[in-house]
Amino acid sequence: MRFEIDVKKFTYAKNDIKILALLIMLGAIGFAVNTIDSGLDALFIAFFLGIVLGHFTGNEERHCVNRILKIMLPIAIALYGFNIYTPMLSINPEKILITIAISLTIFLSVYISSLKLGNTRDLSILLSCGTGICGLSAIAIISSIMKPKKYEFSSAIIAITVVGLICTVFYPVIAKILFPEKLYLLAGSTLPQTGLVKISSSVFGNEEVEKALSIKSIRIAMIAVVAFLISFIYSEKRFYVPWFIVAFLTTAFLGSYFGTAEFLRIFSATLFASTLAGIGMTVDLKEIYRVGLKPLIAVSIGAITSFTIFILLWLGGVV
Amino acid sequence: MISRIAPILVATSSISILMTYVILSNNLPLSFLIYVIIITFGIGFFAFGSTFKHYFEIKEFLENRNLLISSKNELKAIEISVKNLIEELDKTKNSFKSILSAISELDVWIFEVEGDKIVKSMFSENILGIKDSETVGKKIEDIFVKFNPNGESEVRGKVKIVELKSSGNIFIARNIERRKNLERELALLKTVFEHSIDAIVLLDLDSKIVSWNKGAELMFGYKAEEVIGKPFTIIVPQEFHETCRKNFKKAILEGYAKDIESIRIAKNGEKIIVDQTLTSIYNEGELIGFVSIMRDITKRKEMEMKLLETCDELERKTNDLISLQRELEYLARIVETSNDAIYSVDAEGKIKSWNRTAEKLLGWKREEIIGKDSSILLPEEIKNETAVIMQRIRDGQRELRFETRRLTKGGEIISVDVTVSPLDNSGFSVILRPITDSLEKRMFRFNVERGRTYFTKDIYQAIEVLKDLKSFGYNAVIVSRRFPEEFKIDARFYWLSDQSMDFEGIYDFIATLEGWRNAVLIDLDYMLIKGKFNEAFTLIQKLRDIYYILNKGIIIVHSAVISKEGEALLRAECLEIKAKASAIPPEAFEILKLVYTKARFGEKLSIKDIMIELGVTRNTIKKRLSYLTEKGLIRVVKEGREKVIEITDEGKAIVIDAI
Repeated sequence: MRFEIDVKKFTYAKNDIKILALLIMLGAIGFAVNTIDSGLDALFIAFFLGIVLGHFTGNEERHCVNRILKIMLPIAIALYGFNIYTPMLSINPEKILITIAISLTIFLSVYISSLKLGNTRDLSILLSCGTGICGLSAIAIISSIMKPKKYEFSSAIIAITVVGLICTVFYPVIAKILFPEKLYLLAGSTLPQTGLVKISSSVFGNEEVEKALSIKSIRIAMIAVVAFLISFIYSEKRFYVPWFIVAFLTTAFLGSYFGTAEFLRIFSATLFASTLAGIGMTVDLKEIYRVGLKPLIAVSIGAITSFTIFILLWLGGVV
Repeated sequence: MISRIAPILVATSSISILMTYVILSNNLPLSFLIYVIIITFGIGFFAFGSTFKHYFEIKEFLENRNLLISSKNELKAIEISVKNLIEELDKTKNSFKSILSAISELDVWIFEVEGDKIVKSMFSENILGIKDSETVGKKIEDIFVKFNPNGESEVRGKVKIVELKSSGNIFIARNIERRKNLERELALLKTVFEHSIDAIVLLDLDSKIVSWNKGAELMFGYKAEEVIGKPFTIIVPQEFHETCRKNFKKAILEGYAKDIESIRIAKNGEKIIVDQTLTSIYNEGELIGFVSIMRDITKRKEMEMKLLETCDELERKTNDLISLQRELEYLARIVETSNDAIYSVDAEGKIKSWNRTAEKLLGWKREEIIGKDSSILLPEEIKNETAVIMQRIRDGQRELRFETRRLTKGGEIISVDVTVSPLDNSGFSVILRPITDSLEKRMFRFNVERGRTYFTKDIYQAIEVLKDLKSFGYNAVIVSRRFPEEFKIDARFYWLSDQSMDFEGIYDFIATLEGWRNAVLIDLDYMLIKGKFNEAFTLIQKLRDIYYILNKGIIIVHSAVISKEGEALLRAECLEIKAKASAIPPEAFEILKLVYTKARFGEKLSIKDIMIELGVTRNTIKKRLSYLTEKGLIRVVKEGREKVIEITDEGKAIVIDAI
């Protein structure tokens, strides 16, 4: 199924409002859980809850969700820019290059291994973008351009979340043994989601968290470049960047340099989580697990590769 | 299944335990345990999908093909469905084996090709005569002389010509040599069928025409498209339909019916005689139709008919010839035994034939006269008669009749009536007849002559004349009112009455009497009494003229009641009857005349001969002979043991005088 936007044909039925309210509720739950533990990503929680709820809903509700998503997804993406952290100008350019190099390494390793394992090109791009850039938000934004199959989208989210959580658990332990002062760099340059970076680096205090998030912000910024590239690659006739991508980049720029009101940040995060909950509701669980371990293995290879690169850089004294 | 689930469980459990240990041993936040749960769930989720991927694929496959049976237990349903599928496969496999077994009986070879090599082969012995194992690995060019993937190909094997059918890289080679041979035979038979001059007609069980060759077209004039589907009886005349039906019955019972000579009708209505053979056609023991082969024998039959007619004609002509020969022989006998003297003379005037009567009349024997000049028979004064006759024949005269004289061997000159007819060889035949009329006239008791009309007032005289003439063979005819009994003579009678007194009728009756020797007595008394003198006189005048012209006989007119004027008129038209004066009674004179006549031909009669000739008893003959002997007119002499009668000179003189 492809995501389409057709406002004119959209009818605000009573049932649609109920579903919308349900989605927002799920998004709000996700946001709340994230607030309690930043390791539990709001998007993942909302998506997970959407899958669970979708299992018990009928086709009519799913059609309703699809109609809502046609409007809600681009708006959510456009507003999600307010949740993007701007890169800190004080970061050492050397670290920026290292971060970009590691991100590209992750990107390439995941993409190549995914293709080798037999995954589709769309899934491979989603996995590589999600792992290499900024996790679920990157997957959601890229998906709006690529319009992948839903099971590809869903399996990418789950695989990245699982591997990210594994890394979140093991990185502090490894860093404590080998390079306690370099955890922020490891977490910021390799972990996919901002929440995971935050929870992983928080083991060594808030200062480390800030440093890790600043490193992560470099990777987040890469979403703009990747969005443009994907738009270019997937444009059918001529180069075209969807309006919500432009709006996303604009809100990200405005939020970073002029600051974002807290309520707007909460609203945008909740709305984006609600969108993920809607996608989760329309996903067929069978189709996701039939993909098998291949996305998980591909993302794991990317994580191992990035960790190995980091170790090598550490051993080489580069970091 | 367990072998696949177990490693996943072990791995997932190991990761979970390891992570829990790491979290706890490193004093990481307890919220991390939630991550472990999520991680375990995620890994388990994907592992489950990976493990049961094929299960789901099988289920989906079965569902998509409607092979999955409905059951609450999905695994059980899949198991049963798969079992069913396998059973179906087994059945299909067995069917396939049966098909292959059946195919092996056929003259086919199945092979698979990769590149230009044969990689699989089945039943190659059927076509190549070598085993499949020997065939595999060989190149196409080693086996095929001509390789046409979908068509006729030539093979180096026990079979030379095959037909190939390909499906992908699998080929089926079929032996078509027999079919080719059959096709050639069929083409040959078709050519024979098409070009045969005999009409060959194929019929179905309803005796409807299904095939019609050129020979039939030429023979009957119908084109094939005109007769196909029509009944065979279209060319059979109505009267032969029953026979035709019997022939079909015979063909069914005996297999064929041959040598049927029958008549058929062509398109233009012409009847054709054919020699037909009707044969039943069977296919696997079942009668499927008939073939009728017909040969036009019309000309042959016509020739046979002509030959028969010729034979008949020949036989008829032979019979005619035989008949003619017999006739000729008969005629020859007639000529030979004729009472007339007959002889023939060739172009040079030589006598070529001579009959017995001629011998008697003229005295010359056949052997004496043959070859002699005919002038030997002519008296001196008419020696050039032969030349005159021949000249007249040359001038185109077909028959000459005249009275003349002939010279006998003895030098006697006799008067004869001669009839001369030309012969093909430029000669002529001569029939001599002694002038009997003169003799006859002279022999009558009364002085009457043929062709003349006489008048008498004496009815008895008239009757006597009539009787005399009748005794000389004349036909006696009486026209009278008197009753026939009064005449005492056997005669034809025209009885006059008021009704029958039709003068024209009487004229026609008398004028049209047959023959030339008629003696007619016309009794005018009744006519005159009735006052019909003028008509009677006119009748007499007309009859006198016609009898005179045609010489049909003698008319005697009688009337006792005629007036003097009438008598005068009649006597002016008619002659008077005068009785001859003779000293010899007529009965005796009759014998004398017979003896004289025979003596002229050199015959001497005995008493017995005279008895036979005249039909009179011996005693009567003796009495008359005694009378004549006493008068010295004849004499009886002995010749050997027999007495014969000879006429004396006095007798001859009396006879000649009487004549």
